[in-house]
Amino acid sequence: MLAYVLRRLLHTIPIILVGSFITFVMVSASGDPLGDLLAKQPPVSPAILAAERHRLRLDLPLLEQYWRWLTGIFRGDWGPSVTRVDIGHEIWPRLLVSVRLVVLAVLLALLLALVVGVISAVRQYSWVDYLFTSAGFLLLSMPAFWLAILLKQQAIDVNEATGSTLFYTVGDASIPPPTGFWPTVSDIAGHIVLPTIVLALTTFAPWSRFVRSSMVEVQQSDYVRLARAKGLPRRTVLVRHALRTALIPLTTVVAMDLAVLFSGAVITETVFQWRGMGSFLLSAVRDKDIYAVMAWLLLVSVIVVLFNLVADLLYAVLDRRIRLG
Amino acid sequence: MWEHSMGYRKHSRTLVGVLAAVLVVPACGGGAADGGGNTTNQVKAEANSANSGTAKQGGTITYVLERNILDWNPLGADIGVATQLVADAYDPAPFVTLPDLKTIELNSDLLVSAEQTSTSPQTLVYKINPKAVWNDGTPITSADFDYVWRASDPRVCPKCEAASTMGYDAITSLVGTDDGKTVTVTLSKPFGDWKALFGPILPAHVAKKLGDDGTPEGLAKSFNDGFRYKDSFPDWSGGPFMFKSWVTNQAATLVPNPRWYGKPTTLDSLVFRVITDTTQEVPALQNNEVQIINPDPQVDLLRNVQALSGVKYQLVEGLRKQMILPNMNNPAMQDVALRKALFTAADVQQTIAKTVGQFSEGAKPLRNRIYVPQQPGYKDNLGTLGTGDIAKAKSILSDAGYKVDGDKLVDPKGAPVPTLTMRYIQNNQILKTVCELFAANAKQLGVTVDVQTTDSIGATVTHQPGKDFDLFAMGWIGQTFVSTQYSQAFMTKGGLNFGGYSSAKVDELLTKALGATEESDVAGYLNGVDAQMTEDAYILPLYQVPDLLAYKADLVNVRANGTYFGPPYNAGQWGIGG
Repeated sequence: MLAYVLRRLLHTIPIILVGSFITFVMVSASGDPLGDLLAKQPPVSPAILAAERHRLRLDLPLLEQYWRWLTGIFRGDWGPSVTRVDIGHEIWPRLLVSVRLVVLAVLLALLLALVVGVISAVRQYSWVDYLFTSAGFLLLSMPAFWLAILLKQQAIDVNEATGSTLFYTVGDASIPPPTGFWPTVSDIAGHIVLPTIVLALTTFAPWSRFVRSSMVEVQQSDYVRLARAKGLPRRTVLVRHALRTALIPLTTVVAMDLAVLFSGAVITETVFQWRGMGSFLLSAVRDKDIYAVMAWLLLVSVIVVLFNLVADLLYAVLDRRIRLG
Repeated sequence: MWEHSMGYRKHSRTLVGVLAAVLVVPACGGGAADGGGNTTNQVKAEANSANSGTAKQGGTITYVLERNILDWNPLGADIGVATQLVADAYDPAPFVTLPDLKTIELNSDLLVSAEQTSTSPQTLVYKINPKAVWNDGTPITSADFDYVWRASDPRVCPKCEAASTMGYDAITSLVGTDDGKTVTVTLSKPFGDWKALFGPILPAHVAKKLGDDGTPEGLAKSFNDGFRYKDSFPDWSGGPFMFKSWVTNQAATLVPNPRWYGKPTTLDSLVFRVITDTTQEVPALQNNEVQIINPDPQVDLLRNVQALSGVKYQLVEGLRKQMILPNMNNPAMQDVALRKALFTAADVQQTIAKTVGQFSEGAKPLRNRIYVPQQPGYKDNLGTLGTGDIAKAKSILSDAGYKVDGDKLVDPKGAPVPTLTMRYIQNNQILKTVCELFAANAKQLGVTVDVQTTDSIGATVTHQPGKDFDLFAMGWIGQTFVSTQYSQAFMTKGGLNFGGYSSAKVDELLTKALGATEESDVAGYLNGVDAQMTEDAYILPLYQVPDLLAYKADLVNVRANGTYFGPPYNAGQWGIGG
C-alpha cells in the first residue's frame, strides 16, 4: 500500500511541473502586470516603473522567471505579488476559509445524496422518485448564483418579518464581531447557513443522480438477487451489499468535486463575499498577478492529486476485491 | 409504463410549478417597485448641506469599499481610491473639496488659516491649530509638512514613490515658527494649485520610527515601505478616528481618536467593509449589514435601491466623466478633418439618452474637456463637435478632399479610410453602447468602426506593445486642481497624454495656467486650451458620470461627494439621527 502511494505521488511530479510551466507561460502572456500602474493619475515616474518591473522579475527572461519561482517554492518564497501581498501569508487563510465553507456543505450534500439516491432507487417510479428526480434536475439546471440570490432575498425577508437579523448575506462574520460565546456562535451560524445551503443543494443534485443510477444497477445484479434469495433481511442487503458497491462510482465523483470545491467555490464565495480560494483566483487573474495564479495552481494541483489518491484508496476499502500494490 | 410516464409528467409539472412559485415570488417582492423607478426616497438638496442633522451619541456605521486596500500611504504612487476614502477619517489635509465640486474649503479643524501672502516669490503661510495633535499626543507641526515636502520632492528623494511631485519640486524653503505651529513655504516659481500641497500630511515622528534618518535612503524607506504598512495598518491618527483593526480583503474598523482636537464625533465605530461584487451591495444595505454604499449606478441597481424602504439615496453629477480619445500615433487618426468629422457626426445627446440618461435625469452633454458645469470655469468650447450633425460632418470631409466610393470613405490621396478600432474596458455595458452608437454614426460617413474590448486600460492607452486602438471610450476622474492634472494630460509628452497629442499653443497655455495664481486667469488659459483642442478635434467629452450614494434613512450628515475625497470627506460628522 505504502509503495503504491509513493509511486502515485512520484508520478504526479512531472505532471505538476509540466502543467505549472505551461500555466506560467500562458499567464505571463496574458497581459502586462504593470498595466494598471501605467494608467495611474497622475502618472508614476519611469524610475518607479523600472523598480516595479524589477521587483516583479519582469526584466528577466521567461525561463529564468519560472526557474526562480520553482526553486523559490522550496524556500517558502512564493514570488512577488503585483499587489505586494505576501502570497504565502495570504493563501493559507484563504484555503481555510474555503475549507470552512465547503466541509459542512459537503457533509450535508453527501447525506442528502445518499438518502435521496437510495430512496429514489428503492422506490423507483413511485411519486417519491418523481419528486426527488424533478427536484434534482431543477437544482442541476439552476445557476448557483441565481439560487444564491433568491435565497438571500428570502433570508432578508425573514429577517424583516422577524425584526431581527437571523441571516447574514455578506462575509463569514460580523464586523465588529459580537461579544460573548452564544452571540458569537449565533453570528457564525447566521453567516454560514446560506452559502452552505447553496453549495449543498447544487452539489447534492448530481451526486444523488449517481447514487440512484448505481443503486438501480446494483439492485438488479446477480449477487444482490442471490442475497435476497438466501433470505437476508432487506436492510442488510441494501446497506451491506448494494449500497457499498454503489458507492464506488460516487467516490470518484465526490473526490473530483471536492478538489474543485476546495480550490474555490467561486460563485458562492463571490455572492456571499467569502474570501476563499475562489476569490483569491479571481483577484489574481484580474490583477494579472502571475505568482498568485501560480500559487493557486500549485495548491490546487496538490489537492487534486491527494483527493484522487484518497479515492483510489477508498476503492479498496469499499470493495475488498480491489488490491492496491 | 404509460401510466408511469403520464404520472411522471403530471408530478413534474406540479412540482416545478410549486418550486418556481416558492423561489421566484419572494424575489419579485424584493425587486423594483415599478418599471420607471420610485424616486420618493431620493434626496435632492443643496450639495454641501444635504442630509444635515444632529446625531445622537453612539452607533456604528459601515461604509462599503469596492476594492481591497493594499497600500496605506495616501500620498503613494500606486494607491487606489479606497485608500483615500479611509484616509479621510484619520489623516488630515489642509483643504477639502466640498460636494458642490467647486468649493475648496480650509480644514478648520487642522488649520487656523492658510494663505498666499506673496506671489513673487510665491509664499504660503499655514497656521496650524494650536490644539492639533496626533493620537499619541505629539503636536502637529511644521515637521509634518516638512516630511511631506521632502518625500514628494524628487530633488530631495529621487527614490520616493510619491503620487504627485508637482509644486513640491518648486519649494525653496519651508520654515516652522511659533513652536512649529506656523509654516512658511516659499516657491521658486508660482504654483496655481497650491491648495493641493500637503494633502494630506504625514506624521514626521512616526516616519522616524519607520526609517527616516534624514538621508534620501531613509526617507524612501519610510515613505515607500513604512507608510505602506504591508500586512498591517497605520497605528497613528491626526483625524477624528483611529484604527482599531484591519483584516485584509474584509474590513477596517476605526474608533474615535481620544485626542481628536476638532468638532466632536458621535459614533462608537466606523467600519469600511470590502465588498468587491457591486450586485451584493444592495442586499447588504437592505439587510442592514452595511449602512452606506457608493456603487457605480446602473438602471437595475438604481431601481433596486429605489425599492428599498428605510433607505435614502443621492444621484449627483461628480467629477468623473466619459470621453472618446483618439490615438494620434496611428496614421488613420492623424488627419484633423477626419477626426473633426467623426466627432461632429457623434450624437452625444442620443448617446446619453441610451445610456446614463435612462436613470439620471440630470445627465447632459459635457461641452468642455476640463471643467464640469458646476465649476465656475465651465464654458462651451465644443462648437459642432458632439452634435450628431451628419450633413456638417460630410461637408468637413468633402472640403478636405475626401470622397465616398460606394459605402466607403476614400481619403484625398485616393486610399480607402481603414477600419478604425475602437475599444472600451470589458464588461462595461454603458461604454459598449457608447462605442456602438459612435460606430453607427461613423458608418453614415462611410467609416467602419470595429468595436472591441480590452481588459486593461493601462496596457491599452499607454506606450506599451499592443497599444492597438484608434479610438478609446474611457472614463476620466477629474480633479478640482485642474492645472496640475490637465497639464499632464494635454502637454506634449505629458504623463497622462494617452492619445499622443502635441500642440505648441496648448503647451504654452498650460504652462501659463500652471504658473497663474488667480482662478480667473487659470480658467482663461484652460478654456484657451479647450478651444484649441476643439480646433484640433482632440478628445470628444461625453457626459459626467452620475454618482450614486445610498444610505440608511436614519443617518445624518452623510452626503454624496463626487470628488477624489468621496463621501467620507466629513466622516467625523457622520452619525445616527436622534
